[in-house]
Amino acid sequence: MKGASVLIGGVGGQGVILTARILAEAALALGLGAQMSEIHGMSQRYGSVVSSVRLGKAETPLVKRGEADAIVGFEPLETVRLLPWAYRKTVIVTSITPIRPLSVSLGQEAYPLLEDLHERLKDRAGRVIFIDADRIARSIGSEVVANSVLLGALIGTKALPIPLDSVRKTLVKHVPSKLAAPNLEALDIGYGVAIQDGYSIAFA
Amino acid sequence: MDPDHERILQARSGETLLLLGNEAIARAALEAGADFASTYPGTPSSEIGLVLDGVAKAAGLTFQYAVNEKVALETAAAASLAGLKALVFMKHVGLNVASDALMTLAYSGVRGALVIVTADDPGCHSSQNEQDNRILARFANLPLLEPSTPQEAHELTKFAFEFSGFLQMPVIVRTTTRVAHARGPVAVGALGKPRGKAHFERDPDRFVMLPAHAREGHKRVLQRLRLAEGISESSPLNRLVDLKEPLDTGYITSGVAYTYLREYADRLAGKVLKLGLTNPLPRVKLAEFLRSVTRVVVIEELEPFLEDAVRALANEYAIDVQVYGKAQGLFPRTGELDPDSVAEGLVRLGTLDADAVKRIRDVKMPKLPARPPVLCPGCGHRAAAYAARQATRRQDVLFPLDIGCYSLVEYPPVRAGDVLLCMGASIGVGAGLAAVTDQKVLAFIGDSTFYHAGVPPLIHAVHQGANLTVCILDNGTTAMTGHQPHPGMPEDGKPAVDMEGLVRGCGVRNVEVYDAYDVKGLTKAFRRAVSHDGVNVIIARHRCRLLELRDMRADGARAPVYQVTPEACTKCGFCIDAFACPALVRLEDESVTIDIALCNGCGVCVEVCPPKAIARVPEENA
Ligand SMILES: Cc1ncc(C[n+]2csc(CCOP(=O)(O)OP(=O)(O)O)c2C)c(N)n1
Repeated sequence: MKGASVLIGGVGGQGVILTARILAEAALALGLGAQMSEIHGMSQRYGSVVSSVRLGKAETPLVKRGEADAIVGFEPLETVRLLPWAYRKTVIVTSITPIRPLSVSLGQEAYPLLEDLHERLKDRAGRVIFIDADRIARSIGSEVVANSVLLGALIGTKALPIPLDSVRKTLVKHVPSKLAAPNLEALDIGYGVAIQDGYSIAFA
Repeated sequence: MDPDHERILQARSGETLLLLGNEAIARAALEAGADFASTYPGTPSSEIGLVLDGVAKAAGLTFQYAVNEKVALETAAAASLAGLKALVFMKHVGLNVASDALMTLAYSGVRGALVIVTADDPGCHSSQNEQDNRILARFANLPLLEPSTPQEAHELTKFAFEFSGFLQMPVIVRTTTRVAHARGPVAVGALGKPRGKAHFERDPDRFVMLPAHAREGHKRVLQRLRLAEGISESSPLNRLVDLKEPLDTGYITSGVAYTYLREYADRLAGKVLKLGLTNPLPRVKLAEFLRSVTRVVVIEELEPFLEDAVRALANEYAIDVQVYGKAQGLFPRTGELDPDSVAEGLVRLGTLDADAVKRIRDVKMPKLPARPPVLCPGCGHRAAAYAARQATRRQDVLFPLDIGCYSLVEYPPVRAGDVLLCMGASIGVGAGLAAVTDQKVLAFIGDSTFYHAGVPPLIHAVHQGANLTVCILDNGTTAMTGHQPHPGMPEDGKPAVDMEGLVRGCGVRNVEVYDAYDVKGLTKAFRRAVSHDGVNVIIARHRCRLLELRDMRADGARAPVYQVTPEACTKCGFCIDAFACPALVRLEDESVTIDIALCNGCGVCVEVCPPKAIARVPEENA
């Protein structure tokens, strides 16, 4: 199998590391090689967080710039921060709900226009899926499953050699049992969004 | 037991788990049959402790969170002097705190085994500096192992126990953030059997470091190091890996840098000397390697630790070889390396084809607002620091700051930080500032930090008659590093050391305790304290909101809900401009609302809001 490199970025507390972990564990369970890097400590307090996952044969979990096969952003600004790792075939899955950094709340800096951020993503990557993960999560009745919506969408892009079923199996082992059902639901919907999005491109 | 910890404990020999480097180290210690482990928490070493604390009872290992790293090392040393196998681990700067014990412990050596893990943090992800502790290992004349991956962290830690037992000296395992916090497949072995209790056999010539014994101890450590050097020469930890022909370029590398080089292995010609045991260096093996090539490239993070040694060796043996590395600026001496920076250095030198980095085109990036970490909504530190700022608004007050979550009060808008150095320094620096300026001084220190390093400077300040106010931010935990306990908290039958009693025992007469959420009371207290002579201690106490909420949830309770009454909001923006809880959101029309998803229900903003437009939502409507 050809390996794959994934970057997942977001804001501390959004579940970036857990999502990366589920992806890596699912790959390992399939017998693919998997490694990931996570940064603990300060950044977990609502700061920018990035985790990288590499599937297949790799010497380091770190992803080289311009070589991410997939990028998942839990927050638009954080997605754009990862652009140096994208190239013309990268698949990007991004949430569309901004979370303002403190400097923006204090009026010291401005949050970039969402349209501009979206343009930049589309400009550089092969395929970009904008997904209202938070709204979907709320519709399921649990705000905390937005990360599973995004993970589902990532799997739905087929950018990685991991089938939905493997992720479902791994996910339930890594979330509290109470949250298993809404997380699976979120995963499925996210997957569907990506698949549907693919059709609309194909039939456009 | 945490399911991850349980998996780590239960895994059978031969099983492969996806483990953090730190988890791999914990498992290796269990396999080595470690009897005793101790630490003071610090990123990026903390997960070793989270695992060992979690499994200690089931594994038959004694685990202790020590009051600081020096005590952690001393207690672990004692365990090994009594014949047991001990592990002690800490972040890089923790080894500074422990270094007084370390330097002399090298002379006396150990008995059972003592493995010291230092977790370095190149790039300062979570640290006040990025010192390279390999130099401390060399300084102390202690053997040094550098794993490159989680799997190697496991192997080298296990080997370190054997190595230490054989040499009868402490052995240092040095990880870095990208090893400690990398997660990769780790094949585990069988668990060992701890012995439990021991009996200390007296040997004062070795263990009582009076000058006469110390002189012998110094000779002894050097003699032991020669044994270690022999092992370094023959060990497969220091191994040769051929790339493709021609073989006249050599690469010397250790730690995580090796994995970055390997990423380009199929594009490089030459051979690699991969060093896992880097003190003492295998001088003969190295010299042979240098003789077999015409140029050698040294790739390592931070200091030119290997590079300088290689250069000295080439010189000493008059070997005609070009040595490349940091000296020519190919690789930076600050910050982390990564596969890209390694490739860029090699492309500049010309050993790697430019093709390898063709995708690292400069992406034109817009200037994006940074997103530094912030205090959580509902954090008592924010409330206390805000009160201190408000109380001293019109005065020239200096705020020496300390290390912990509360370091974040340095960021706008509170900006209550003037000096931040190392743990405990807020009080030491505060006492110094009080001695040499006429400015008022208000030091912030966390509870765990206070026990760790705040007591001696507090005694000093009292004794010197400093005019100093110390605010101990007591959230009942070591929050920053993952909520570890500290001596101020009772746990599992271990008594708490009373903070007020301790402060009074240091000679402080003026001690006041407030709930950290009591902004009104604290504001008055700060105002009084800074105009009061002598040392004043104000304890701002509120349990870490994250823990409090966790307990509430477990009890089926919910945090109170607060709301801004839109008609009452005057759009003054004060709550955001001065207090800036992340749950307070400014709307388009400049009025403020509370983001319910973020709010942790502390209610402090009720007090902060000038027109009193924030109120608790009655339970039945919440
Ligand atoms: C010598 C040293 N050891 C450990 C650390 C890691 N560290 C940073 S902050 C901190 C503890 C903070 O606890 P506390 O003072 O209670 O503040 P809190 O984070 O709970 O607000 C630790 C252990 C360090 N920076 N230096």
